[in-house]
Amino acid sequence: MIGLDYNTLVVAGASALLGTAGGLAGTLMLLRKRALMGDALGHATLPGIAVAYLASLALGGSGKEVWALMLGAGAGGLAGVVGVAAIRRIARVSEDTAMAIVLGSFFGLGAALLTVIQASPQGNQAGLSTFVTGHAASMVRSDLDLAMAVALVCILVVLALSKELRLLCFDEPFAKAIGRSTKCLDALVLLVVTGVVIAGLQAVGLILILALLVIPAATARLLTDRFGAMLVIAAALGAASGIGGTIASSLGPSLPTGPCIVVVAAAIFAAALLVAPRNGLIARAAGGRL
Amino acid sequence: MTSWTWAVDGWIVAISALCAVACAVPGAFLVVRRNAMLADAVSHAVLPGIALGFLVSGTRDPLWMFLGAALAGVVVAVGSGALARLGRIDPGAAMGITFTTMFAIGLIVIVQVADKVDLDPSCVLYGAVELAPLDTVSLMGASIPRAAVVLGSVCAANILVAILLWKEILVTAFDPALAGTLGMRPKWIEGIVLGMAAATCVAAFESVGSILVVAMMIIPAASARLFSDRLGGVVACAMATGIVAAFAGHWLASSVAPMVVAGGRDASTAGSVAASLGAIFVACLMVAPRRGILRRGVDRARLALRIAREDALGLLWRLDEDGRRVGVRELRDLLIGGAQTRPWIARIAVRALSHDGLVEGGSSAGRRDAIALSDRGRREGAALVRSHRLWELYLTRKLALAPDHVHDTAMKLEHVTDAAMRERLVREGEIDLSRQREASDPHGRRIPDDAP
Amino acid sequence: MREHSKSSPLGIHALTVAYHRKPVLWDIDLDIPAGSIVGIIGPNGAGKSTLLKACLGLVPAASGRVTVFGKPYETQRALVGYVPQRESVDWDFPVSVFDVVMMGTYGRLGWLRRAGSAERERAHAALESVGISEYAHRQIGQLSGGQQQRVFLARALAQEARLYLMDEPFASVDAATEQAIVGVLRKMRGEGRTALVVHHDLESASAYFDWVVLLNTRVIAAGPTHEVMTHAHLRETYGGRLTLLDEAGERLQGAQRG
Repeated sequence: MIGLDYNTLVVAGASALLGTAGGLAGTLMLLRKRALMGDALGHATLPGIAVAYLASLALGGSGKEVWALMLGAGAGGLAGVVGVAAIRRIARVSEDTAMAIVLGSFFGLGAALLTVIQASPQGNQAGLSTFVTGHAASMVRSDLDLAMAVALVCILVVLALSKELRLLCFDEPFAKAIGRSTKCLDALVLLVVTGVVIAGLQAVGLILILALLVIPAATARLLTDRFGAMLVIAAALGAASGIGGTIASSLGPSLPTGPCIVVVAAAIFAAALLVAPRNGLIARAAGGRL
Repeated sequence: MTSWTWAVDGWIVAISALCAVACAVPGAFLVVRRNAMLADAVSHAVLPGIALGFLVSGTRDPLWMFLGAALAGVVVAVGSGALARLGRIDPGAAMGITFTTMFAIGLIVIVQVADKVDLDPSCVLYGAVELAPLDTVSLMGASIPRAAVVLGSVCAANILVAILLWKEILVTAFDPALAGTLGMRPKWIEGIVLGMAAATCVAAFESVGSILVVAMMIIPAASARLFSDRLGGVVACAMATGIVAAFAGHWLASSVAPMVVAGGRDASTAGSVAASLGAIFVACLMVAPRRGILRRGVDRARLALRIAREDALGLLWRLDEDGRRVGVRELRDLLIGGAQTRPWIARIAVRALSHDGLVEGGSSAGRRDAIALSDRGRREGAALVRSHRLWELYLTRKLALAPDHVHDTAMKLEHVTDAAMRERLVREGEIDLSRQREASDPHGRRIPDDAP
Repeated sequence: MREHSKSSPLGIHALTVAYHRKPVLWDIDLDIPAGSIVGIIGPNGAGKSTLLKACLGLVPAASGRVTVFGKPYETQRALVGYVPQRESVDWDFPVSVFDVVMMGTYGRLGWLRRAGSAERERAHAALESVGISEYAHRQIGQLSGGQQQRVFLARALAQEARLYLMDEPFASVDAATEQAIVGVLRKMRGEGRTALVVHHDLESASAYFDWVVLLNTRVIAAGPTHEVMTHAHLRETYGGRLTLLDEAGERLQGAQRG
């Protein structure tokens, strides 16, 4: 049955922390109406990872230094975010077009580099492609530490700046009028999201990381009408999905952990969509507010 | 490294190009409707769709895969819209929830059946257009790659639908409410275009991969948007851009990549095409007319130069009015100090004056020599000063501004004022130039006459 | 040079907003008198909201400057309260009425510091004075339009400012809310505070405002209500714009955009 060995504990702990961080960061992105930015950011990490690998080889490394790959992923993701902002401003296109442009071209570049790397003799064992769809089972202690650090940063940022973040998401002009730098706040939020994406590469991969950023936050929105409560609930649901997904994946012989976490999160969302006290479909149908 | 053979590489490029052409119609619509990320959502649905097709049929038969993928694409497109409406969720978030959940389920299914059948997720994600020429079907006696047949049919279907429903698509893309009042059923049109997008994604995944089809759909249309303001133009330019990228991408992948990276094997063509599209977009951003970075820079410099040149003429005219003369260097310093012109622009502007024959004297030999306006220079200077002083008078009268407030505004407006506008200034400002008192500006300066 | 009074709550000095989008404002020069309720009145597209936003630094000014009690606005933010248009925010946002009103106290609190009981008292008092205390813990989306407008007013009151800039507070509100807003404005005036209110109903303007600014991309007239609200001034404000100036402004923008 459920093997509570050391490895499973590491995976469950890292997933729970990742879910917490994703819930917090995702709530901010959802309320800022930028839910899909996490997707562009996630896909943009791939060329960063590939370049970091090639750079490591060129500098005499093994290409397996995880910190270097994570650094590359972060640089790629941030380049993607800056790219979206630059394309929006210069080409005057809508944000979703800018995101699709960055997502498609960055991921394409990453895929091209990856095929080259995998063709090389050392590349086959590099296992870079696990970052695309994730491979939670191979998580080790250092992944747990990274997830813990990211979750801690998320919690600290949200605690320290809750009133600024609430203001930024609700009424940006008012925040500016009382002298808050909304640019700095936005940059901070995007940095935090980048941290979550990096921490999630190993567990769920760069495609499904969006789920951890969106689903717990959207579920929390159904369950509460308060900003603070939404953060707490999203963090809790993220953690619950992480643990639940890990347990679920240990029930079958070959159930991948990352997708299981997403499916558990989605199941909680579906349940909330039906039975949430005020915003659920049943409650609204009963009140004639459908 | 393999050498380029048309029998193989030609087909690879042709298949990629067909894919780009097929993507152009729905892509342009999605970009114009600000719904570009829907392409992303639909394309991520392909993987679970294939898994579904396999679960139902138990075979790797392409037909079942297509059916499954098509169904999944429609579920995402329709489902995320319904979820946003029913759950009152941000549309982007609803899309994210729907496609990540389906993708996760798809991954789980594929891992489950991995020992029974080889469904490689990375093939679905990145595609394998390099292998497409090997999988042929016989069509009218000729052996043609199956992917070319599939994409060719989708391409033809998309173009046919676009031609038949062109004005409906145009109006719906521009203004769905207007389309409704014209009895065009914008919901249906939108649904048809989304169906086109889904079908194209499904047809394309084998060759360019399910995620890279996002690049194929959105980037050509967004690049084309920089060059054309008309939907037809956008579609045509997008097709051309996609074809160019198909060539460039495959050439990079098969000829350049093996030379650059040790190990020497080809890079993924689909990835290279997507990356090339990104590069093409950046290039378009540089050179596009009107919105391009280069064009805007040139325009800005040209405008600054024209203003500096006109300011210099006005300056010389006013100095002349006071009976003063200045040298080249002094004029330059006046421009830099008084009109806040950038030094290099001031230098070029002053040089342009003598080049155009607007001033005399101040040759390079004698930099300290005083320069004087030529007849033509005096005429142009007079027109500028006239514009300036008429505006000052107009602003004090019509806007009731204080005389010491109007100079800066008039300084800007004089550069966009032509003879016709000067006439209107006199007329609409009710300025009677024949009367002595009124023939002067608010500061008591005379308003020069317009040259005949 | 026109003299600007140092004691004026709001001094606008030769402010021009020539911007990629219309409307533009031409060389606005105003001194708002202290302790008065001032209406900004003009047709649609006259730049009334743009004037408020330019004063608050929310849209960039091409030239000119804004002073609050004689000093640059940037150093005096704490003295200025702002009531944006109701449509400027998403009322589905997960916050309660009380949360929104508390936002008014954030300006003085600064970064990182948390709101304490003093701030909560201020927020409660503000809610009380606009008469919606009973809704304090409702989600903002559950209120009527007029009640939502009062929430914004209460948030501004919680700012405890000396000068208030209000963007269309009377737009499509019920009669009770209208009376509540007028009551608040008069109370403010009694305390020596100043309110600058964007308004577009001529009928009620004379009754509400001590002072009026007639605006149509430029100031037509500004002064005590009974002096300014003349037939001639109103005709100039509402009857036709200065097309020549508009045209020149468009050319200027066209030239800048390239």
